[in-house]
Amino acid sequence: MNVLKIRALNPHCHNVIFLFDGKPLKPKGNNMGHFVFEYKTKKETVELVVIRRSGLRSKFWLWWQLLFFIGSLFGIFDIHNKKLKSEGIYQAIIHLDGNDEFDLKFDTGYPKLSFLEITTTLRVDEIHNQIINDPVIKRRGKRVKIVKVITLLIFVALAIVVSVII
Amino acid sequence: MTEVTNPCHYQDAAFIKQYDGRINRHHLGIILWRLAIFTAILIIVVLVAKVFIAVTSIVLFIIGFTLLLAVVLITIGTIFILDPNHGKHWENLMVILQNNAAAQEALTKALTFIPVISAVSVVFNILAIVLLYTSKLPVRRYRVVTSIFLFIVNIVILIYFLAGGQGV
Repeated sequence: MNVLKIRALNPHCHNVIFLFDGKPLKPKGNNMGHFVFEYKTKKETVELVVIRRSGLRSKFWLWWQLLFFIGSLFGIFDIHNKKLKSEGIYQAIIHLDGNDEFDLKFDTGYPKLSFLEITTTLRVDEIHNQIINDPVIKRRGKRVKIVKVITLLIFVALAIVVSVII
Repeated sequence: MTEVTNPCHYQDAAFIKQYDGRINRHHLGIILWRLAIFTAILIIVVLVAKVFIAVTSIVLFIIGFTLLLAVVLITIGTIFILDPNHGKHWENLMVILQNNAAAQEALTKALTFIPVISAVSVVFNILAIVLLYTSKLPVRRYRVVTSIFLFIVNIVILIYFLAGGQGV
């Protein structure tokens, strides 16, 4: 039985999915604030997929974003993280050989334009490691910004109307 | 950044799309957790202000209460503008702060709302814990621990005030 130990060193993103041979795995935290995954397998290789998906991909993306905006008191308590709107994918085949430790870091910019930076002594066949710049998500991001401004203006206008009536 | 739309089959796979709902639930859970912390801090600030005004000088109270009211009344108050005399809030605040008895009265009024604020905080906590756990995305452990801690503190405050402990 081979055990692959993976540490995510800066797991600040809330929308990252880790898949081991196509199956999701629950991480454990350690004292340093890292995520630690332990994947047990009988096979010699493991297919690792790390995907960051934007919140703007979901079915009712505009309604969700509006809910977040209003629920977080007009964005005051919202997550201010640009990475939540950017997407990335990492796919690799990892060859296990007994000394199976694997560290990964998000958004270090090294190698250039990559999603993850990997530190390991294992043999890794990288298939994908890139930040995705989807024009659909960009367009939706702009629309969400406009809708937020309009919502805020509507609330202010409503408040003024209510105050005048009262 | 490269212009890549679908780099591999995982990006649009059906079983990846099911995570979109979880990502949203997780996001909402975090917002509610922050709101819970905000309401809990509000309770603590009001309680501390009450103790300060009863025990020590008005100066300490003025600092805390001005900060609290400036943020709550003036910022949110002017956004919602529910009061037609909203422009006079600052003057009213100064008048209230000029004598101890009026300030005490204002705080007693605020304290009567603490059970409501506590109940809101408890509800936010419950929802945050449910959402964060059903999202099945990595959950930061301290976030859940703080949620549970806040939940217990709020329950204690709620019971205390509902049991008639109004006079702190």
